[in-house]
Amino acid sequence: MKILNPRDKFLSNYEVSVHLNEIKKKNNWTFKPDEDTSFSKKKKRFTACGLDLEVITRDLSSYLNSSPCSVIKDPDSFTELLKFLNEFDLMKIEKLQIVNSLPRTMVCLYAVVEEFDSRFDEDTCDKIIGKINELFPVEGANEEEGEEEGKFEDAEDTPMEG
Amino acid sequence: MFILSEISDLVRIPPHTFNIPIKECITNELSKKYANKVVSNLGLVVAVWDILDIKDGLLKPGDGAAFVETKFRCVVWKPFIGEILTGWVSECTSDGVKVKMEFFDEIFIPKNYFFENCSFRPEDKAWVWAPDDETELFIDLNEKIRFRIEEEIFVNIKPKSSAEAVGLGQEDEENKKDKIPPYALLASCQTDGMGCVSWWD
Repeated sequence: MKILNPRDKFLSNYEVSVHLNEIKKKNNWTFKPDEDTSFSKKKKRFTACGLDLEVITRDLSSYLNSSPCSVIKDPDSFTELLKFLNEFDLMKIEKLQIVNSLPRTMVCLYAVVEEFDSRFDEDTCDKIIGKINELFPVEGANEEEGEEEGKFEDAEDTPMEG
Repeated sequence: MFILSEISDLVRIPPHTFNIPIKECITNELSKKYANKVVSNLGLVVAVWDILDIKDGLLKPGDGAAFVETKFRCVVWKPFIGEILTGWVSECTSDGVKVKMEFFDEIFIPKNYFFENCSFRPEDKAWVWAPDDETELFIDLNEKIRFRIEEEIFVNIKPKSSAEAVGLGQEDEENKKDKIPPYALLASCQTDGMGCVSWWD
């Protein structure tokens, strides 16, 4: 094994979750009983790529589904947000973090972007949060649901692994 | 944060997979080797992203398999220093708080990386932050917590016996606990927005 380039490109959480869904679809994997089973009923699960890939796909997609970036549903709104962020003088990793965590409050945005208050004014902050809320509207109940789902998963996983 | 890493490796293709397309076969073999594994100083490999180059297969005397030199890219999870992440509290001790992220559990927030006026309460088994004299904020088990990555620790772990090296070692609970994780992260909760997510909403 030789590592040619440890960091060829950055990936956003959204891109990773799309890639994982492709893997799941290709192998007919489902990890929850209530998941969309339209494709898994007909064909058998493929396991040639090993158990480890299955484990990490299950755990990572369940984490990504409960994270803020799960509200991104299509590539169009994703690119629109990135184009909007390009207008500002933000570092690449800062843009990446905004796309990953989709901050909806000032505190969250200030935490992600270093020295936000000296580099930008409050208008910019409002604009960014406004754009996020416009592109990816979220209902108040959503967050609680996500958390509960995560816990439910944990409880389910234990017997499977043992 | 996820990155794409470019790696080259010699892949052994077992004879019984000669009938399936080479690309698929190599992806499967690479997944078996790399998925959900920590590569030292690189990070946690998640999955193969794409295959860039496949060289001609080589043979070894006494082995029916083909050996193919491949160049590929894979998705690696490696947070950078200063990245803000969220996870769930899995353990509270007087030394600090352990955080899990479903797919990665080795995140630790040591006691000196907390807010000022933070203290551990043994009777509640929880960390308490007192931002002012009247308020008390608890960091409890299973609470969603936001933290900043401060340090990454890679440990090169060698198998203890030859049986373990080929994957035959008995892995009981006690053994697992004693093991040093190959990749661990130190995190902090010191600035605004860190700590339990519910505090800041």
